Amino acid sequence: MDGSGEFYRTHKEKLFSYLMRMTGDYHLSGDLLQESFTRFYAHYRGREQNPSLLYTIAKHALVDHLRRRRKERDLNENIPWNLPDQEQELIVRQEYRRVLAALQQLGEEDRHILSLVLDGSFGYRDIARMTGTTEGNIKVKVHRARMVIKKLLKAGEE
Amino acid sequence: MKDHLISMFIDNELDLDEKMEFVEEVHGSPSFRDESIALLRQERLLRSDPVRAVPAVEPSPSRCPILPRWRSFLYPAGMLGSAIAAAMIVFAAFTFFAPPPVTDGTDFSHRFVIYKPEAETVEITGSFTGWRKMPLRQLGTSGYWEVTLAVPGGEHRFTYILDGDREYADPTVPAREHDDFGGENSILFVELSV
Repeated sequence: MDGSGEFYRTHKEKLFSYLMRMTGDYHLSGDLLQESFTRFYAHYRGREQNPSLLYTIAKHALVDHLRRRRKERDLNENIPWNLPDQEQELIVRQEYRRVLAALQQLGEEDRHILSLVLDGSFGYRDIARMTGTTEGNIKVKVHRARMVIKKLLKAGEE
Repeated sequence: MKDHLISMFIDNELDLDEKMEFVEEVHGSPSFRDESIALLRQERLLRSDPVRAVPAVEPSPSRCPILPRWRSFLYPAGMLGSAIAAAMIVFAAFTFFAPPPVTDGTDFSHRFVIYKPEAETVEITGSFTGWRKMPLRQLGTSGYWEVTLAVPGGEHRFTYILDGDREYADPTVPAREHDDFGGENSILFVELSV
């Protein structure tokens, strides 16, 4: 077996947490986890296994999914964005549900940046490179996103 | 405003000058100190695991948690031990070759998901189905196919069958081996939830 098994084991859970923070949806995150590794191995198996690349692929897979869903939603306005799911209710930790709800209220780019920071695998410089912006911009956006989350969590307690 | 220093402190992004500035601010401003503590507490929550379990099985063909549990039975001294071990192997062989029932939502159930938008049909066959083909159902127009099957704990071989005749190893399971027919099987490891 090549190093891809080790790479998968190392990044599977963290990437899933990133996807959960981005989508708030357990099943969708599972599907995107599979699709991200599929795309990654299809294009980069045998080359240097770079986590930045994996997360960028995951973000693109999510964007593709949202685009498809918007198109389906335009065709049928009765499709709800998120279906209630008993399994999801059971498996998402209760104390984290309000965090996921708050994260979903951030703009997509801010949620992406904060989720990458929370992952703990990347510094501001890496994230700036991955998002095509400057380190200074990341510094501002990360703090602003944390303050928005703080406000939302506080509002949820009241 | 120096509030952004709090996030940089949390994320280990401060240089030496900024560290001095941060410490001075914490000592000189009670509101800055309170904000720092509040954001650190929040960070502990934000960085905790969102879910109780990640919906995929770790591929690790070299590990088998059954063995440590059974080791004392499989390697006892004397003839009695050998007889017990032989009986257990026979039992395990019958269990292994008997096709398990398809269930939904049991402790041993495993959800198989694959992205194949171009396929007309997708089936799965493996050691846990007695090598019988089981159909996956299409999830709307998303391109995903899924099925939930009962999978006993331990190590298993499986492959997907596309459009009735094309074998396709699971691309998200790096552990694979060649089968006797020129194809490839994925190796799945399921831990016993005893």
